[in-house]
Amino acid sequence: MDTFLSYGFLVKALWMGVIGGATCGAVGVFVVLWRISFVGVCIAHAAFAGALIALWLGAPPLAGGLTGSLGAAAMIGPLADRPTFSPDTAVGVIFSVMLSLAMLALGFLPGAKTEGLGLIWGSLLTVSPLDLWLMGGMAMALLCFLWLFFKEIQATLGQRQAAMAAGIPVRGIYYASLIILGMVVAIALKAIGGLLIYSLILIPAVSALQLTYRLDTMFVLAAATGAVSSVFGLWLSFHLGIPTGAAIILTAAGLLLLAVLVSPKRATA
Amino acid sequence: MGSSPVARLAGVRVSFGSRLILDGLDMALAPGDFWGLIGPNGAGKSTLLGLFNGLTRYQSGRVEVLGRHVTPRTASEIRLKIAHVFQMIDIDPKMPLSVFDAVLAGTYGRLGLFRKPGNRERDLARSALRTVGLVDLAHRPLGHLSGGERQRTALARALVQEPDLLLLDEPTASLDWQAQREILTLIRELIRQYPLTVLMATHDLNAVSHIATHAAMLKRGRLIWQGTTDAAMRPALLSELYDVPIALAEVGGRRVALF
Repeated sequence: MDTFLSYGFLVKALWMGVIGGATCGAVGVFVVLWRISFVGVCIAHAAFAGALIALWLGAPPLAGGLTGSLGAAAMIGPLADRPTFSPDTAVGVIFSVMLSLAMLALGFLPGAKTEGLGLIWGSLLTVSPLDLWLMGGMAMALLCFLWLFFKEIQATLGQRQAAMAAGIPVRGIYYASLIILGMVVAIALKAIGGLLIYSLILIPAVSALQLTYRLDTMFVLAAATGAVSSVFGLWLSFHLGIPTGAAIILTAAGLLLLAVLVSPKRATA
Repeated sequence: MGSSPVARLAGVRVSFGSRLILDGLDMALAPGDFWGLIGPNGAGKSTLLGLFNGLTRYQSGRVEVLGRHVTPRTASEIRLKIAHVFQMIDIDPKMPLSVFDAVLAGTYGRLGLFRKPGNRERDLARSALRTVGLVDLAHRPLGHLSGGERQRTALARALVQEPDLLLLDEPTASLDWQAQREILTLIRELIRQYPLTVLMATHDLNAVSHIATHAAMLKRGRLIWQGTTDAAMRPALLSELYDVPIALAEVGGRRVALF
């Protein structure tokens, strides 16, 4: 790490990697445990499309990303709430539409399209102090949410109907998590990139699920795996000259493979 | 039947969109009653159970629990007095949740937001696990239990709610014979120990004749018959309910249904 930390922009990137990676990892626990991975995919790509459209219209990409992700959460969230809903086809359609909108906006962008292309691949190296502060704020908000509502989150696991029937505000918890997911995605978009942001949410949480039967431990492990993947990926990317987002996700996938191999749950899978 | 009912339906009608699901329901559950709710698939049994805790919205008529009108506004409060046991079939074996935590979650509704479970709640959970015979499995992951054990966990979770009304949605469905018998024996034991009023939706006619005091027959969204279990166990009535000929036999002093 000798020369690594001597660059100011790398230090900021590193902070973003740690905070953003941990936040994405932790928020992924909801996606994995509630089996709403299709909601996550749609929210991530809606943020991506929103950011590109904003860029095309000359508005701040972050505002567009937030509008896209929160709009998608509001539209797709209720679908997953229906017990009879099968996401297979809907996700295919919504995902394709979102991606097409993103590409359309990219096509309309005048000039060199550098910022637009940056949103596809992501760039930890262009992280601004504002991005860092926003991500730090999101991390704190998520931490508060988990601390305040941990027992309600736990009560909904695998027994959502029973929790609702027992007077636990299941819907409130569910939509609050979707809003947090949408905001995390929109803020992390610029650093990680629209194509890979969802992977950083999903993969660390899946790794964590292999390793523990405790919900609190799962959140900690998912956050740790997300942070480690981001930092190690960044380091790899710097030394090997490979794209940062790809290096991060491949690191996360490698950690998942490791988690599956050492998992105490292997026999029961 | 002199005391006021624990729960009451009067002229209740439920439709989902243009589809009429339940119509003209009148029913009164007196304290200590054990009602078996029987009827073919799709008759609306689960929808009817959901009326009492507001999981099912109704368009007209009146639903009352413990003298209070059940509306979307009052439902969240009324739910604290009602335990609703669902089938716990689809649990991921990797789910990070222990049996103890699953049962403890039954206390969270009453506890309310922002309060952590304390000794009282933990004692309740331990005692409920003892009652259902799962103390030794308290720290196992919920997903590792057998179907019967999961159902007992769901009953323990219901008990820690200290409910006045217990709703059971097919508690013995998809269980093997031994587990079915254990669950029924357990439910029988519970109603002896706790002052509960019970409404159990089931396909198991023999379970109804075994433990229920009353039976209600639901067919295509209408209650076509209700009364005591003794009076309900008549071949003509049951055959009409299910549209198949059903015979009854007397075995060891118990009436069992055969098709």
